[in-house]
Amino acid sequence: MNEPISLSCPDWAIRLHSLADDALDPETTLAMERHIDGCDACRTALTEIQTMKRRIKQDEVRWAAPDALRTSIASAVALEHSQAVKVAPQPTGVSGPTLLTRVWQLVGRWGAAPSMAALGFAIILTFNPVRDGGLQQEVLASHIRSMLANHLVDLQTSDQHTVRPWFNGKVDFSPPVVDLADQGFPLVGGRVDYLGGRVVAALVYRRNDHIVNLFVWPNHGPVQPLRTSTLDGYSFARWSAGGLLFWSVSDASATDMSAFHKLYSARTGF
Amino acid sequence: MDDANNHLSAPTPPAEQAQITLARFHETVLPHLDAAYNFARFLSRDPDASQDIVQESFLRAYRSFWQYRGGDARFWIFAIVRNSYRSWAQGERRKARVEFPLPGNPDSGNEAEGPAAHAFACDQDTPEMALIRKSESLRVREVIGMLPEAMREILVLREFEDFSYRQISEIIEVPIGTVMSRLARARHEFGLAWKALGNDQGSLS
Repeated sequence: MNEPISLSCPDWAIRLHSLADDALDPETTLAMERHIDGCDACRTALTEIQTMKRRIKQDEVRWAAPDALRTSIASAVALEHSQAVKVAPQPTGVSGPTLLTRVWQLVGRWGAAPSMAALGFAIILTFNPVRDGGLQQEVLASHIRSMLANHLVDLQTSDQHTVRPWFNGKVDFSPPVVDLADQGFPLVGGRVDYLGGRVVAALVYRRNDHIVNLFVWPNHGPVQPLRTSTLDGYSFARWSAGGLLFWSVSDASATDMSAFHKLYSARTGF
Repeated sequence: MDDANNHLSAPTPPAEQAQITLARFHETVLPHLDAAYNFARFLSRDPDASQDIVQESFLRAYRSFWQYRGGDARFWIFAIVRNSYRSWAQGERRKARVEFPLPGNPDSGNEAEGPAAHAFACDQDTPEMALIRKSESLRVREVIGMLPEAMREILVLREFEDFSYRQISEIIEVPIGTVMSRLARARHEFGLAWKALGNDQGSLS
């Protein structure tokens, strides 16, 4: 213990670091401390290490993950999850086999007592929104893609007066844009997207950690009242107003989505 | 009526299992997002790449979550982040070779200016910003950013994350003796760079 220690020995320098990291066994720690008590050079070196450790380990030195990353990871994981839950992978868009598969899944789930009424009910459920169903898949795919591909917005601003003119020349209609930050739905920005075979405007809002995509394009069909639905844990709302068609999608709660629709409609008149 | 109820309460083990997995993942792995990002950011010195690296790591982690047998989830995700970072860095080096096909070419000489030049080129840093910055924590970031990759890595693992020497040796896949000597070297280099940047002499006494 009392043998002279050569300070030029690299092992010794390393042991000083281990001491500062509290990584030595008790016996060695004791021996080191005893030596350092009587050695100015070692004491100075140890203090220097400790000062440096404190200096580096300040909270402000750390980088914090951006909110967008948090949201995007949560969405990506949710997507993986929803794919894992599916009995069989379903292609986007509604094709014959998918519909058949769905019907058979429903029949299967109904179990041992498949009454004709239940089957009829299933068919109505499955077939009635069939046109929208394909679109719904597309809307969902687009929503998820927007978060995965780091392509949430083309234009990032919460200024509604910047977003609306930005769409000029990009789409042949003018989507109503309003920031709802005061109601807990801050506007994140805008994006041009492709849905149902046409270019559409996508407005992006945030609800806490969730992203809301609102797709807007001209309505060439009849007026559609508000309809809401859910798929794979995502909530949808669709409605038409003033010659435009609106689809909103998010993994936010259905309550939040309904509130979003009310606020948006009230503020824009659409 | 009964049919509908059966439908609602029908046991769907795989789906339930997946739901439990998702909830567990949220509880055990996602809380380490900030730490993982901090690690990726100091390693890559690139804000956009850090996001990609971390996103990919968490997806990988989720996909292999069934292999996770409890224990320190932070340790687990750090090993994955390190792997993702290394793939990214490999791609960057390949790109760099394409951009500078002639290593001996004087045009590519600025590449050899050392880590300091590189650090300033990254992290949205401009020399002007470097002059403006005042706070000690920003200077610490800057100095770490000037160190070589292996030094940045070990400093983050030890000083920010408090991983044990043994854990560090497993994450970076080197013997524990190497961890100890590398840590000593990293701190030595940090100290030199800190002083070289005109910071105080370490306020020792």
